[in-house]
Amino acid sequence: MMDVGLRLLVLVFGVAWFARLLRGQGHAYFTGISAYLSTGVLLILLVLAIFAPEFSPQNPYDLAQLSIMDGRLAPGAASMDGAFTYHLGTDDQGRDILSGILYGLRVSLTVSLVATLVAMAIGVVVGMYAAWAGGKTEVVLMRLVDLQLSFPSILVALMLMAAFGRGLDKVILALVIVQWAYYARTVRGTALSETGKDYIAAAKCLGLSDARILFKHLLPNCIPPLLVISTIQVANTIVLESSLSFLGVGVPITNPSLGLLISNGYGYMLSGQYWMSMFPGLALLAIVAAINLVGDRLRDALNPRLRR
Amino acid sequence: MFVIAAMVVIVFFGVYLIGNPIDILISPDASLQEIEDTKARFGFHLPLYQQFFNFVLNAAQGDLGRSFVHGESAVALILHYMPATLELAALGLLFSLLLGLPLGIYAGYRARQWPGKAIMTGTIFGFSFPNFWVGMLLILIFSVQLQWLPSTGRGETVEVLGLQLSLFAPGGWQYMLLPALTLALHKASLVARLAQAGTQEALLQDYVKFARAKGLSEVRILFVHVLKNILIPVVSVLGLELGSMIAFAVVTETVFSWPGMGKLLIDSITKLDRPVIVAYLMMTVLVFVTINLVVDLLYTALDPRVRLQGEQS
Repeated sequence: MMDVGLRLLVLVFGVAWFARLLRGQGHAYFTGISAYLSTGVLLILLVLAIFAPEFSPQNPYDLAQLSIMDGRLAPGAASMDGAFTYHLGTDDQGRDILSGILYGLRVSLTVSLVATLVAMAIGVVVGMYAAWAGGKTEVVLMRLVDLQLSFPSILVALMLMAAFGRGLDKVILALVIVQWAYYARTVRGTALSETGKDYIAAAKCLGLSDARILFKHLLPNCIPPLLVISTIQVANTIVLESSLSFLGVGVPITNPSLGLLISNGYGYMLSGQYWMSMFPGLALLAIVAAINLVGDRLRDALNPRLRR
Repeated sequence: MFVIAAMVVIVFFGVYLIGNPIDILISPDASLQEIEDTKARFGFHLPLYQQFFNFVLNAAQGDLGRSFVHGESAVALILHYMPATLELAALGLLFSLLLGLPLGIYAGYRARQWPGKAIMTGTIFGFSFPNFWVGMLLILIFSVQLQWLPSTGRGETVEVLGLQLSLFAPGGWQYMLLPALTLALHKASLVARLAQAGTQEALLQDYVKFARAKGLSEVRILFVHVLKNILIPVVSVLGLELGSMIAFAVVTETVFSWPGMGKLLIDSITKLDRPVIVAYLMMTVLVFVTINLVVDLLYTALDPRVRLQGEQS
């Protein structure tokens, strides 16, 4: 567990990154109520996830705090000893659903953020290198990308997880493998048009090394088109991860994500005990919809063609 | 062809990294002799490259091995489960068109007013709904609360053209509605967004002005003239998405206990039934390649320009 200060830093960094992304386009971004609403919801959910230990009434990992006697209580019920109210009910092992959701939100967000960032890094390097090297290297790399992209991400991820087995690191690895090709293709397109520009020619004339041109000159110009895509991609990754967890090949039971919580409660839903999977599902919907709406607004606000 | 060849290699070695099926097939207290016998029966005693060679040889003859668990030919098993998935995907596709096209066209027609904006925001929610959760929600509403529709299973089937289909069976079609709707929601959002963008562009074209000048009703302009012109991007994307629909059926089938190949795949993964996993993937590759071909053919049917070029060359 990171200490509070460090987590606060993460949050501030995230908000600052968002503000910088919007630089001067705030008026184009904040149009209409849905923009305010989705940004607000996203911010609240991020704060809740980052500070889950502080906010949640119970630590779902601490077995000493759980009581099997409190299993499958309806929302609003009090615990057996009357000291505690389960606002969203409990699951079959007496875990508070609300706490489970907060911690699960954390797992879901961490997995997808890390996977997206790593996949982006790999994709950028491969895509840029392919565009730079050209010739056979480019053909081989892009063929690989095409091959992978011709398969639905869920199938590839499912196969990988079947081969790897369960585990947080394995889920992240599988999600990285699923996504890198997407970034590689996008970056290659950008890099191809950028390498033809004068500043690259100028850098070559100066006799700079290939590595320096690639990383100092080409890289900064290849990143911006990716930022909006990666925002939406985080949402897709969350859904993919939760689908994998739902199918039982995702995160381990000891570290439940939202998808796993939903899966755990599914067996009880037909008997009318809806809260075990309903509330985690609502949380999942909220975070994914918020990210998607923010991404949609960002795309419109940052698209130079739509600028008025 | 390159794709298929590459897949054979990747799939084989990928799948053969998964666990040791012997552990699952035989009871833990089996003697060493029994273990060796079973290994020999399934060909596990051979070195990996030889297993691969045998696999390719058999695959070329349409034999992808026998299921370890079911004892049937893996291909036959897949083919047995395939119609259920295909009919589900087909109905899902139909639903997504019926839902997505009118909504998208209307959203494009009223792009600057609130109905258009509301529909577009709605599509983002459509994207955001996790597939399995929608299914559970539908079960909760229509099966548990209202008790209108059955929650899981497939119901009756009738034989149509040699395939067991439940869509046309009197006691089967209601089993399909919820899974197909679940599958369709995501694609309907996609169709709606494509149709909206297409309609917005098409409305600025001269032929729409001309149609208006002729005094045609707006409904006719939208659903005859505009619709024809926005179908091309919709069909090409949907064709590609049909593949992902079959893949996502894995999730939907699990939720609804629909006996299709997706559920077969999940069961096979948990039971480490390698030949079935391999066969599933190979069949999926084949289906994908076929879909791409069909999409190309549909193009020529929908777009006269492509057809003309083809005939000239």
